[in-house]
Amino acid sequence: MKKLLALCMLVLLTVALAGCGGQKKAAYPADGDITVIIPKAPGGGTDTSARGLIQFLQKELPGSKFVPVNKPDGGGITGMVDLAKAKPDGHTLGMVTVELAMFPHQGKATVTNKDYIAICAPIAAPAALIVPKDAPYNTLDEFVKYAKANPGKIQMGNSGTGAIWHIAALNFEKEFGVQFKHVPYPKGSADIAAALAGKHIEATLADPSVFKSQVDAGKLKILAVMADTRSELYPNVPTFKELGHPLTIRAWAALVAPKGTPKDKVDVLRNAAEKVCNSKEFKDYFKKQGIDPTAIIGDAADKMLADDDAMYAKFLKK
Amino acid sequence: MFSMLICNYVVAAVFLLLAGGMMYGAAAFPMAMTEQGPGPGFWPFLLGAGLALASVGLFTFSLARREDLAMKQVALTEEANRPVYKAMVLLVLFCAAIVLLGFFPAMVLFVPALMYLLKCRNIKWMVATTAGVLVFVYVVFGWILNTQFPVSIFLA
Amino acid sequence: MSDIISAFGMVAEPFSLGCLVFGVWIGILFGAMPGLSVNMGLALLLPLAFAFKGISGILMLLGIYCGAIYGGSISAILLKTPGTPASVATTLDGYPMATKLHQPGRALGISTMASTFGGIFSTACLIIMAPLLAKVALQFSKPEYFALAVFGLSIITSVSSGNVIKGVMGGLAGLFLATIGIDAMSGAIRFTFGTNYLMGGVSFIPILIGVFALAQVLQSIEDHWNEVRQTTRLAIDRTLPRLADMKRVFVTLIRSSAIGTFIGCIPGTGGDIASFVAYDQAKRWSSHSEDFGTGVPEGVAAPEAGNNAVSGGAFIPVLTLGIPGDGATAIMMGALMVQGIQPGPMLFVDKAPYVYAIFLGLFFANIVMCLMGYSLIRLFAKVTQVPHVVLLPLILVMTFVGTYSYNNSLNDVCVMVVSGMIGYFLNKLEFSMSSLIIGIILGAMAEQNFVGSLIMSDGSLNIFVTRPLCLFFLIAAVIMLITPLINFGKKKKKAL
Repeated sequence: MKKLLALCMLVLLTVALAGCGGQKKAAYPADGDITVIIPKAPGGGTDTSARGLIQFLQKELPGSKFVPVNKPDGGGITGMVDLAKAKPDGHTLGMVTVELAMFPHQGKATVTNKDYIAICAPIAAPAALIVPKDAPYNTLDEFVKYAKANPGKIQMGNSGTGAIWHIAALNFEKEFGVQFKHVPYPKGSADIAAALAGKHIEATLADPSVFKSQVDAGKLKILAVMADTRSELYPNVPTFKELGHPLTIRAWAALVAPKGTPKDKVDVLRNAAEKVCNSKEFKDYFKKQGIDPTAIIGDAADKMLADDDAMYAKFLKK
Repeated sequence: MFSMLICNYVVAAVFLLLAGGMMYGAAAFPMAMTEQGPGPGFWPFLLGAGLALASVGLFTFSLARREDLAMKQVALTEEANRPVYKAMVLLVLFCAAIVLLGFFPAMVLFVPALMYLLKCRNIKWMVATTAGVLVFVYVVFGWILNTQFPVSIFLA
Repeated sequence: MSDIISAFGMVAEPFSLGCLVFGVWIGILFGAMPGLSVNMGLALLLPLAFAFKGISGILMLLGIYCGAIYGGSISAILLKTPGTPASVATTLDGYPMATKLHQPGRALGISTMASTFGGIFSTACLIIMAPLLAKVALQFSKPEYFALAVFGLSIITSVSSGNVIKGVMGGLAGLFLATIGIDAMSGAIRFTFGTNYLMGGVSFIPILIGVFALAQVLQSIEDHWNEVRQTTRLAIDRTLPRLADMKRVFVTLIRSSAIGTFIGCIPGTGGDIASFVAYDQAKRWSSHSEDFGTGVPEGVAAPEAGNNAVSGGAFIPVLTLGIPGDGATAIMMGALMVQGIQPGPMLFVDKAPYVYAIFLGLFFANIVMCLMGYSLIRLFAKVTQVPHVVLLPLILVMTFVGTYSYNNSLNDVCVMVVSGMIGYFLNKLEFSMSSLIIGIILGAMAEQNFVGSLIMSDGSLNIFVTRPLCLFFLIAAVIMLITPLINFGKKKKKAL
């Protein structure tokens, strides 16, 4: 009998402890931990950018504590779904990636951009056309000419069939009327970089940050980027838009809150994000890693999510 | 005690069924060669076929060696196995308790129960171990690593 | 020369060395705990690394990296639970040596020595032969990766200590589990039964923890009831390796370290494959291969040297090409870049002192790991003396906690429990869990590179036989598969 009593006391104690969590009486966001769900594995591009952003935000909002939580299972879908279902009290945020705009139209997910309110998008890596230095084409037009003359011969590396860079390549084919041989490298852009360096493929449309060291060393060259404005890291590379083909495909990651989060809390975060994303340290942090930092805040980020969703809806409908 | 021979037969049969399921599931996907390479059903079908072959192989092998294998005994229903099965039930209950009561309360119930299963009757040890594990997990994982443990669905 | 001296100056500062020691310590802890991965540790301490100026942060990360690969062997040897996937092969001889032969100190000692040897060997290769090995690594395209995967799978026949057929079945089951989820080559969604959870594929770490840790705990409960009395009052045996052991294991160390360095320098392959290949090769070239699995020193030394040798090898593509070999090296590359050190072909030209600092860092990290390991072996080995009544519930709770903290997913925990229960029965039926794990690890690599090769060759199978490197590994795989059968036939002839 005594043992049972002791056990019950212990259980009650732990329930009490677990339930408390330590409330502080301060203003948002300092009134409790803010969980940030990252739907990717630790160490990847999205994860590092997210943790960097969180660090800067924490400095900007004194007293706040952001706790990153990785939930990569289900290809990141579980994490995004958990975020959409979370209590919209401003204490659960998360990252979403461009896959959010693609998956619903590929039958892979049921959440869409409408389930979230965007705070900011610190990275939006454009698809860049990267080829070996000694390739017989130096501009986009020369490349297209070569591709037209050799249909199905150019091996174009991507990060997986149905993934963002493959979609970019398909868009390219449609826009220019050419045909590639698509070679998927599911392990990611690092594998594509190795394949290009080893001359196993002829070209790729991908995020240029992984290829930075090869480009700087003169082994690879970037012909054009699918962005609205020129990249700060590669100012000599024209955009597809300038060359007359307004293609914008970017792999973005955005910090979002679940729909229904009160406007005043969202504004606090957005204001802080605005200061952070425009600060020099933030930009340097990303530029040093070869990532082009962007400062797409608040409604502009919402618009980007909606625009991309519409674009992929149209493109993937067929 | 079951003999290894019977176990082999059972395992071979089970795997044969699983292999059949694999091949059936794989057949739902296109297997033909396209410009994207062989279809997504090709490789799983191959694996299912291989597994079926291996199951048949195990069956024949067991048949050929039946005298030796009948001698070998596998302990599945001995007295020592029962606490293992009780532990398995305990594990399932632990999972349910994590959802219903939250992680830490469930652990407080689970650890003493398991120790009881291991023939421990010393209350002091039970409390000490439970407290020790609780503190360790809370400090290292909850506090330092900031892992957010499941809380009871009644509290959330 | 002046570069080397300035590099030495950077590294030999007390604060930098302190960061290195701290990193190794954290690495060993993260490595020893199943469910806590190297990448997790690196990602968590990355902000700290940024805060430290200069090379100190990088040294800390190097420490974590080297320490974690070694740390996994501790739980592998003492608890038959690999702390990291790279330590699975260490359980095969490490655990029997610790429990059946009652020599946990010897096992841990050999493991520490082998890990240090592997790490230093690969660092030496990095320094001397980096450009040459990088050239070889660049030759690897999809056919070569496929051939390497097949070679890796052929190890199943040697690792399944019971029945070879059962090993093959386990391997095939593992390969099949690897197909679940979104197929990256075609975009199709396979075998997910409509759940979101399985979209990303079957969770590997929960299954690993389940079939090794949980299954072992269940078995231990049975043993406890059978009163399998371990003479736990035995004093801890000596920890420094005997000269006899060192002589016996020397050739194995060289061979395994070479294997590990080579596999490490190929982007996309890591310690798990290296440790299995090293174990397998040690077994095949040994004069007493039947003893493997009972607690043979070569069986402990080979996988540990192999997996730590990956650490130096993995830096070869990072430093020479600027291409990360795996997640951990990708994180470290990011850390280097933020400090203004751009890995890649220009690094040796622009920032030579930093390159030498990284070499020295790796070298010292291995030394520190060795010293820490030896001073803590007695402490670690005491784990085997903890009474089962306390140890088993503790390990059980740790499997739950470790699995949960990996992905913050309760689904993973359920997968772990189910795998553990199935693993218990399969162990009794003499199925080798290692073959299942090898299947899961290599499944994606085998299938995706097979399909990818056919894409590149427009459907022609010629691509596998016309490329020399690919052909080499395929033939080696066939030889690996056939020799046990030939030996088997020879034995039968002898018996007749």
